[in-house]
Amino acid sequence: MWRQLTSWVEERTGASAFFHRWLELPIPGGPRWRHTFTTAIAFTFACQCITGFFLWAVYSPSVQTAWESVFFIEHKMIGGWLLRGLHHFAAHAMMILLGLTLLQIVIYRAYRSPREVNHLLGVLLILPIIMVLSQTGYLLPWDQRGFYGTQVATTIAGSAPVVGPEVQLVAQGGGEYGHHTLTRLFALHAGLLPALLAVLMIIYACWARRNPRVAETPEEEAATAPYWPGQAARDAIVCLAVMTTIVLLATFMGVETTAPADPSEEFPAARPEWYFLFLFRFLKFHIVEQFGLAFGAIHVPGMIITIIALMPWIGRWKLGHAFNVAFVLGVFGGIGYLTALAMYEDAKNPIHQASLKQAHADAERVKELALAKGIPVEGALSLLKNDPLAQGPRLFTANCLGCHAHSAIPVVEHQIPTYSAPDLSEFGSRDWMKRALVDFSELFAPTANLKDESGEPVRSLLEGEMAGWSSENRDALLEPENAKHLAALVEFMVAQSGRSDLAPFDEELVKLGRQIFENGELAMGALSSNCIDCHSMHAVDEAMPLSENEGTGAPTLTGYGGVKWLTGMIASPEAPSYYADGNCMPSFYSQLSAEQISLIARWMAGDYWREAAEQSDSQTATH
Amino acid sequence: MSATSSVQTATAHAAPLESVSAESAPIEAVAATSSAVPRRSAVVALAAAGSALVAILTPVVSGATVFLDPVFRKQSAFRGAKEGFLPAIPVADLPSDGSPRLVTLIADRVDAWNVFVHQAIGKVYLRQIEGQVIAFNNICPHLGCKVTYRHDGNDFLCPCHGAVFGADGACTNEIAPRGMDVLETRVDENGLVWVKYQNFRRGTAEKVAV
Repeated sequence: MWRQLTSWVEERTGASAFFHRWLELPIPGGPRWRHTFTTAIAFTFACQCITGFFLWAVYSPSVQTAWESVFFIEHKMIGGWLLRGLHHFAAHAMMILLGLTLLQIVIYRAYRSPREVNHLLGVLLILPIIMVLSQTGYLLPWDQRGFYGTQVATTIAGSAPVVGPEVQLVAQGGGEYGHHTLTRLFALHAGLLPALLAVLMIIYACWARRNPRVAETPEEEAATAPYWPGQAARDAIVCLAVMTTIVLLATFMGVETTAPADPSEEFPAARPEWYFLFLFRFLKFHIVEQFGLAFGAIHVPGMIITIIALMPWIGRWKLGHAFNVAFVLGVFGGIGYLTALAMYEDAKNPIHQASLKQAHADAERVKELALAKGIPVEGALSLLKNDPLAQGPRLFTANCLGCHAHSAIPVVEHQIPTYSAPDLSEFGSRDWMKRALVDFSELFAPTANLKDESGEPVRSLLEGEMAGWSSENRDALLEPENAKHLAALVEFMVAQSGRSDLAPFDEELVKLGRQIFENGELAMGALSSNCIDCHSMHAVDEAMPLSENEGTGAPTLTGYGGVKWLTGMIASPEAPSYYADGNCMPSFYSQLSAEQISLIARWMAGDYWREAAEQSDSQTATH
Repeated sequence: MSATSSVQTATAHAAPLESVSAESAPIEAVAATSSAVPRRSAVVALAAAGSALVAILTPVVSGATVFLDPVFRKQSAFRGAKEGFLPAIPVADLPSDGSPRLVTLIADRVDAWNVFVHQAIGKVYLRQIEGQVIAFNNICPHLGCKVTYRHDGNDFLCPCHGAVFGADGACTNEIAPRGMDVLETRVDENGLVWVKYQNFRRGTAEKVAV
């Protein structure tokens, strides 16, 4: 029955005969490991088609969904990280195998007549298509790395002679990267290019079979063996070894995804994938730069490819083969040298390393937020853009660091500015409050560097009333008998901020602190003047304000250190409710948007998502 | 067996395949020619077939795992439920005569990676009878259209295929395979009705949550 069926199929298709002819092809010299590379390339390509199809089923190419769907594959879907890892590292494996194949072809003169056309096919079509495939794939996760790395590639395409700019416009789907860059490159990456590559690879294999290698020596002739099983086993074992390596890399190394692409956020650490790093470094040579982008990125590589393509003819000359081998080895050596040089320089470059560190921090933060909160429909970038922890330090660096130090912001040693305002690392904390009470002059010491327009020092804070009050009352507050009362005053002040990062507040101390704030009575002695004499205060959860003293120059302490207080302080420190005429800080009301000011204030007040904070929030929400 | 094989291969070289049967014999036959020792050839053939199979199955299995993710990983379609219950309306707002009121349940909708805040998750008919609250999912158990309440007849009609249900949710004609889906409810200490919102497989007599 079975036999009837197979012979029925065989008579009509010849599949079995074809298959066996394929397996029985005699190979001069018998099985060899170095003949496995081309099969390994075909295998990794098959692997890419398989994993690519499944990734295609779950990937969504648009600016708001590309990174997000990749994130979902990687962190939520069962086995998603492995599938993505296989696809990623198989692409790298393909590059290495291509290099090895080229070396093998040149060294063993596999391009010789009548195989010239195959050589041309490989060098001029298959190699470039695989390169474009890997380059388009680099962009698809739409993260910072791919976004900026691929821009270099499309800019290079744009520098090509004659139709370059048009090619760039068509590839990008417009002047800038956007939705249509993703859809177009994805159509190329998952549609046209793999289809083309599959056809070319089949043609390559058929032509290779049509023009088989012939034995060169009698020994080779004698050792001739069919493809099955000797060479087939070698091919299969190499494929398995490649797959094992890919699985190990995917498992133990993983694929790095940086933060979602952000055209407004520069990324100095942008680099192409390692196999294009040599080109990146080559273009950076001053002498190469001089001749323009097209020279380094198109003409020189084009010339090298042309020479490699012409090797079957060059190889006919007496010294041709030696030239070919020397040339390929030279090219590979140069690539190796440039790659190592680029890596070494990046490792030594502090700006590159700082940028990488920032990128890692952003990537971690956005992942944390996306896992905890889910991604809003505007995309994951909005999580980062609206996150005080991510944006606060950036805005602080750009706007506040000129005067205020902050321990969370690393400053390159030789770039430390002359601070002229307090270090805000601990702003609003218990320690800060205590120092404001007993060490005001020390806390505000950097303001000694303040100068007015005529260059005269401005000492309104250091010689102001609070500085005087602090030195008058310092000893009394620091009396051991008054320790509880000092702590109480501090606790009362800190409780006004309502900051979750400083909670919980000791209610008993807060109550006592409120009394001291009002009447100044300590366990031993009393304050020289009461807080309410100068400051406005409307304590938390109270119906009536304790005191109203706006415009005196003593800042209102209602909600001191909290988001609202800070927002107002950053926006208009000269307002009557803040420092009024005694103010020395620039107003940011007109320089920053309300969102930006809020981000700085929320960062400084610790008002951002944290794992522990979220847990307590959800508990209060459910009760 | 091996003797016939080598004979066959000898002919196969001259006129490939005609004399070779279609099953595993020809592979062994070819194997036999590459080495004088057939057993060694069999090992090599096995290594070839085994390695190739494992190598190509790895991406296939890995991809299929991700493809089948919806079968093995259940992701709730909404977020913000308390033990599966979503808040509806105060029990006092339900008609005292026991007639149903259509209530929209609000929660954060979850769609793969996205969270859509404050969305209508589904609608339920709530009836209050002597302090007890009954909830019906308004999705018809027949083929998933939305059922509407008819005041005149005090019954529910599905406009798509004419399934009719009594005020108690039971079928009154033969179109739907089961009565309207009753959902669990709770009334908390503040008199707020909470509904455990679920959808069920359509078109089957038994009620299976999806």
